[in-house]
Amino acid sequence: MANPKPEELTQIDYQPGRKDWMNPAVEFRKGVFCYSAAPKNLRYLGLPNPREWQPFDKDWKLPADWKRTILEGMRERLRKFRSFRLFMDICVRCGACADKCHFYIGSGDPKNMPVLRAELIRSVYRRYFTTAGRVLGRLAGARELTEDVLKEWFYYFYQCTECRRCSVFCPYGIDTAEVTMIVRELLNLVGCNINWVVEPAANCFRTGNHLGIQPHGFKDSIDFAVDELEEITGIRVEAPINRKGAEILFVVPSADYFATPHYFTLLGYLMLLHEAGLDYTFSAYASEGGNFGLFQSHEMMKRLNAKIYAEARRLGVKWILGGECGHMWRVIHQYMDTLNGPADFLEVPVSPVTGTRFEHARSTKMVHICEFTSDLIRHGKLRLDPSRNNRWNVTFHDSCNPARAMGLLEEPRYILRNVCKNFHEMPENTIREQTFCCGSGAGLGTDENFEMRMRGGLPRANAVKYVRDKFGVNLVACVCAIDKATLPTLFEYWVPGMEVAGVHELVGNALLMKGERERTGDLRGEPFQEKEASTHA
Amino acid sequence: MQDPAARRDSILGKWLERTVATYPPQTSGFLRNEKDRFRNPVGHTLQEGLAALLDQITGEMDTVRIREALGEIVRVRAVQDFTPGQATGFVFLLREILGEELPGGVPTAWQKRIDETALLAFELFVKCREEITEIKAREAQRSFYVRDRMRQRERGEGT
Repeated sequence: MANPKPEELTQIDYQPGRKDWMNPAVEFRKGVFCYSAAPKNLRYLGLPNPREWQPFDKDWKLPADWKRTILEGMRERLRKFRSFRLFMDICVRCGACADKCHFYIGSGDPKNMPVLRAELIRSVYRRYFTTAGRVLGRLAGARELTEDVLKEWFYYFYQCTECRRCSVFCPYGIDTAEVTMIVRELLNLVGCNINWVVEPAANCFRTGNHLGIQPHGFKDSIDFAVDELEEITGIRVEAPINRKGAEILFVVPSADYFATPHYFTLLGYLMLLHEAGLDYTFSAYASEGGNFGLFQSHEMMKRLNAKIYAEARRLGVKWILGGECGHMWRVIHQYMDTLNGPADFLEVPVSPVTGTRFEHARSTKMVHICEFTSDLIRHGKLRLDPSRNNRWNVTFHDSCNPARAMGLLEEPRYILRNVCKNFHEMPENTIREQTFCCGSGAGLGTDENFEMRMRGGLPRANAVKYVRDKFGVNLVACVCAIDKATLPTLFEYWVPGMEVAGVHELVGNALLMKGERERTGDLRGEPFQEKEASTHA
Repeated sequence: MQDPAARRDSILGKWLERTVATYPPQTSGFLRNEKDRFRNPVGHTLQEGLAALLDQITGEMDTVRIREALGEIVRVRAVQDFTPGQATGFVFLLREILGEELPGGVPTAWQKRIDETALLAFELFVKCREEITEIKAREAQRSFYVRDRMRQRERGEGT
């Protein structure tokens, strides 16, 4: 192409043309999509069509019968999942969801309106599975399934973090995340998947955790944490791994033992479980709460979830305690029971310290650590000095899945109000069930997708910035490993100086342990500010 | 200089209108009309930022305020679907609007200020893009924190 003339260079068209939504053409510009899955990872999991390709390639090397595979896959799922058929048929395009998606709010791309994103598959559903669509075609909002449509699906359904904020506003209760989940399943049938989802799933299947850490590596990390805690507190805690006959199996997201700021949350757990005198064990195979199968297919979700219950059975525990993980709780609360449950070989969880019976977990037998800790505090079983967290002015980010998929809204707040003195909520329409996603969940938290993440995270960061400016907030507490990995990045761009911590890091700071040495600093090694003797007991 | 106070609302309205028109048509209405700053951070940033820029360009030309307001807008547009020219070109829209609104034409001093502001917008855009590279590198470091800390310990480098 000839170089443009100087006068042409100055002719910038600021206004995009009105594009028909039915036109599927998308541009895979670096920064706004995730790279494809490496063939070795597909092979490891036995997934179809492993090959070298990238989304920006013209030829995606699809199997010859890809179209039949996709349509058969749709037919099978329409038959199998009544919810999917309902979600295809029932939407009246009222628009209640349209401006609720963080990607739409941050990008302005109309196809990020949940209604329009879902329309990308509904149009194909109409064409092949409804009479009106077959006969009337475009007039009935029906589209042919073409390679461009498949590429468009890949582009937009890997721009949904399955956070379900839009579902909160749908008068029909359409779970748009499940529409995304089905489309991702269909894309997987022809090998169109992303590495940031498939590699952690493959690693998880092999060694039990996303990074592929083997049992000795897992033990090294936990032992290292025990050593560091001894230096901080003067107390050597027990952190048993694979101990048969323990009462409780404790499952955490793997980032807790390899990344920061997650690691300080791990220290907090270890202190708490020691102080509560819990008879528990880690498992070197159930060494991951996260389940990237959720972002891929229900079969993969089932395969990865099974290990937690297999390990619970093998180790002979009574019930399971889960750490600060986000989507693990969606899998447990909404799918586990029909995937691998009911876990009737376990007992209904009862806190050995307070006697509280966690009835809500009587089927899954799995309790969130915030439920467990808030119950301890409620019963006065912990001695806490909230002034040890005085350097922090805290707000709480409701992580999408614990908030919207399991209703964990009050427990983390109750804990925070007991372990720190300065706490301020973000505006009402950005928290609790209306919480804004970090913009990096569902496997999208990869660096090549950076610009898209910054767009998607803008509404969250915007509310954080507001409480920083209004109340001087300097720390966002949360209960999700993906949040802890990606919010610091988000805030570096939008709200510089804002720190991120797990709720149990703050518990660890405030916890007065029996026999501890005089502590002068917090778990990050920073000195306490104005020490006070106030305790909660 | 002319007093644009009487025309301020009209000028600002047009500037906002033409800036939100750089987004897809299905979105520009939302950006313009949704007044809740938490439901519409992009629109809110544009509304506040353009108002501040207009007041400075036609008033004191306080560079701190200019940089602040411009920085907020450019930071948003630097990660959206725009080329560098499209991301920063909204500044030049003001010149044509002032031309339409002010019968006596746009004072030379203001034209110069608009040019300076546009250059600053480009500078801030480049700064945002540079930040992105640095932020990505730090994110990668955080994901290996425990391993790095263990190695430091092994080498006796303290905590």
